[in-house]
Amino acid sequence: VNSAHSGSPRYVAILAVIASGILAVGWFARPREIPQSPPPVPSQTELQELARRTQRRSLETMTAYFADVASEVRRSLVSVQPAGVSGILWNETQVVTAPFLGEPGATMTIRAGDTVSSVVAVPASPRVPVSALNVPAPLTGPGAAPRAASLPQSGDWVVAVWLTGETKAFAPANFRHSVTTTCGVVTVGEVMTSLSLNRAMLGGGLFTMDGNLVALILPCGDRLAAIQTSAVAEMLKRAGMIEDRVLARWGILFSPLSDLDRPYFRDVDGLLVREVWLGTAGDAAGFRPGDVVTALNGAPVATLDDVRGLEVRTDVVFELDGRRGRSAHTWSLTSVPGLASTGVAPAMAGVVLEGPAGPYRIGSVVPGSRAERAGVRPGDRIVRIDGAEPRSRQTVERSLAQTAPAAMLLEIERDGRRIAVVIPAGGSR
Amino acid sequence: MNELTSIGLILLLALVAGHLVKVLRIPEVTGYILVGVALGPSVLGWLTEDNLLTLGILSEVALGLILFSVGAVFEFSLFKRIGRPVLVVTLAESALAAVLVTGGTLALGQSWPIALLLGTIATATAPASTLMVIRECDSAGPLTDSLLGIIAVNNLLCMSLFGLVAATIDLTTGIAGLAMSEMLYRSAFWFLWQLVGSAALGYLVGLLLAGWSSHVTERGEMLILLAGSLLFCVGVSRTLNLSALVTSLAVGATMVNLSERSRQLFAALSQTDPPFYAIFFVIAGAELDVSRIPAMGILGLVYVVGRAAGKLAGATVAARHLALPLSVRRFLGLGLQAQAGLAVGLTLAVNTRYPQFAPIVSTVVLSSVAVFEMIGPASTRFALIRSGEAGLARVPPNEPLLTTDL
Repeated sequence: VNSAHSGSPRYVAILAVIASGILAVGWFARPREIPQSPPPVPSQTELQELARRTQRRSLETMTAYFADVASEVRRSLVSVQPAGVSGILWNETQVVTAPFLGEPGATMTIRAGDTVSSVVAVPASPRVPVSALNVPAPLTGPGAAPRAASLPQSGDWVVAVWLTGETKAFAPANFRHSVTTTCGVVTVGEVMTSLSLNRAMLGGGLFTMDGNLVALILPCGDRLAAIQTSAVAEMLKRAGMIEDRVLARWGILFSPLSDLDRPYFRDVDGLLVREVWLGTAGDAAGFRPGDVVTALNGAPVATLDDVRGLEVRTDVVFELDGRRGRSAHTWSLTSVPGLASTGVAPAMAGVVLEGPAGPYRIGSVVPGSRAERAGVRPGDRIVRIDGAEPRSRQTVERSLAQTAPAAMLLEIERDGRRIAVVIPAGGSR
Repeated sequence: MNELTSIGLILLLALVAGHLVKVLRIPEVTGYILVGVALGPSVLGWLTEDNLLTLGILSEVALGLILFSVGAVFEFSLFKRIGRPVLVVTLAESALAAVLVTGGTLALGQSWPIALLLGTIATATAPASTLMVIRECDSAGPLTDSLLGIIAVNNLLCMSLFGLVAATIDLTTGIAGLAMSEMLYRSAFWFLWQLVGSAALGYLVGLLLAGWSSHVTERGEMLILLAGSLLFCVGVSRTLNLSALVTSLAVGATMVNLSERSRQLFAALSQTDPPFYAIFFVIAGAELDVSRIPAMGILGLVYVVGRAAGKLAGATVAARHLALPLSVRRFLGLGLQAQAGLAVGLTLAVNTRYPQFAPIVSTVVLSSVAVFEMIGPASTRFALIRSGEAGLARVPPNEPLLTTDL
């Protein structure tokens, strides 16, 4: 069957030689590889440049991201003129902003996009670091009021957004934590971030990356603070109370006589002048802390509702009767042009005037003492004791050092306001 | 899954599938391929790409064994008899398939290099699956001989054609940084090297095998010799950038012509190698990405239809022209439909050499291979059974499969 097997050994051998030859020739004659030069090793400088560019690139991306968020939330911001601060839509009819400067009753404008509305300024209480502007008609330009956000996680990005005139600005920041702080008479949550706040941001907001409002940038004492949204409603309510509105108008803080005060003002019924702010109409009318007002324009005064008439914003002259110490006293209260409005907390005016009174400055207050309980603080200056200016340091020390004293009225000066402090009677210091 | 587990699983599941598909009257090969498709990354993912890469070496060995067996068709006396018709038929069916696919591709508005590349790849017929179906059917006869001859010649032709097309594309589009003469040399060299160099290496290894085998008597030793030679041969051709396909074919051809004992050798081989083949086809199946089939698009459809019609019509017309037996005339075209390894290999070559054409060529070829690899073996089996040649080679186990004295 296999007879057909071809090939004498000779042919086989010749073929083998030829095959070997082909392989050998082919191997040596094979075309060279197309040289593919390896990519050059990048130098140190190039690597650094690359790293820089990558960094810049990611920074640019981040910045673009923040700008997007900012332009989105900016629809809920308005610009308040002439104060030149930002405001945030609070609901359909209110804009929340920093306590504004200027006279009560002044006309302000708010600009939202191209919509300009004119609003009558309601003086904010100088004790509350926020004011609300009532918008006559719902603003059409901007979007809806931002939703309040719960606090972000520590390290989360937030973005501060504000308007200054036509300038739209934003700044990213890292949320750190929140603390409880006291601004004026209100206790609020303050949001701490990596951002350092400046006055241009006043009235602006701190937003999460979802566009929800975390905090408002507002004055707090003599500094700026990002105040948590949750406190704003409480603050607005507070700013609308009668005593705060009267304080805003005249620089006088009335308060009903408390149980602590009664022992001192034994037989008087009326409102206690708790504070008089220096340089206001109230100050000019001769009010002193510790005065008790018993009648307004002939009508008896017993509760705060009875002085509601003082809010009237016309140039009327109010006649007030009352007591200073044991003697009767009368005051004429009227607007005095040129005197500073109390629309600004004195601290916000930038400087704090010290009264001409002698430098009886309280260095420290013993914790738990009567004075501390009554509200005396270190740094307060004593202006009068029981209605009389102390003649010497010894007088002051003697008065304060009484060991079995009766109740005592201190008139102290603090941050540009005079405050009445009643130290109750007691055996301990 | 580690490699041994996958090999074990492959074999066991292949066995199960082989039994199952017999009931359905489709070839075992298709069963293996279906197991592969199921296990592969495109369906179950039990065989990962990493597994396939590692198992690829078994696949290469199996392909070497298969082409070694196919090479036996070049036995001098047999080829003298069937050589001319085989050449003519191969030329006819390849040319018609190439023309139809190229024309269809051009008609769809593709560029001429893509059309030519697709046309060239379309000429390939899978030797492995075709041979396996022939073995499974125990078929013998003029159709079987023609099929064996054609799959051997067809692959050589396809490679030559690809070399020519590649050279044409190189010469017209140019390679950056190379002079014209350099490019010409390059194209011509690789074209010749893959064919002539591979044949030379195959001849030398075949010579070694034939000479040595006359001194080996035990069947076990014979297998060791064979395995050693083939592994060596596949390995060396990889090192020398030769075509393992052509080399193995040449080893088989040399062996069958020079060794008195080639029959025993082929017989011994066919009793030992089934596990390799099972692995080979399961892996081939796993590498098929059936998820591509829906993405083949109009172009893929044109390729499938053009190739199938070209092979069918070309083979039939040529067989009629040559006045071959009726069974050959009627069924030869059906037996040539399988397409697998070479087409995929050429696609990979396109990917590296002409990345600009790769997306279209890969999508069309890989999706249609998935089709042809599944229907091709069934079509071949149908042809063998209907022609009546199935079962004619059922012989005692020690006798060779390929009888040359018909």
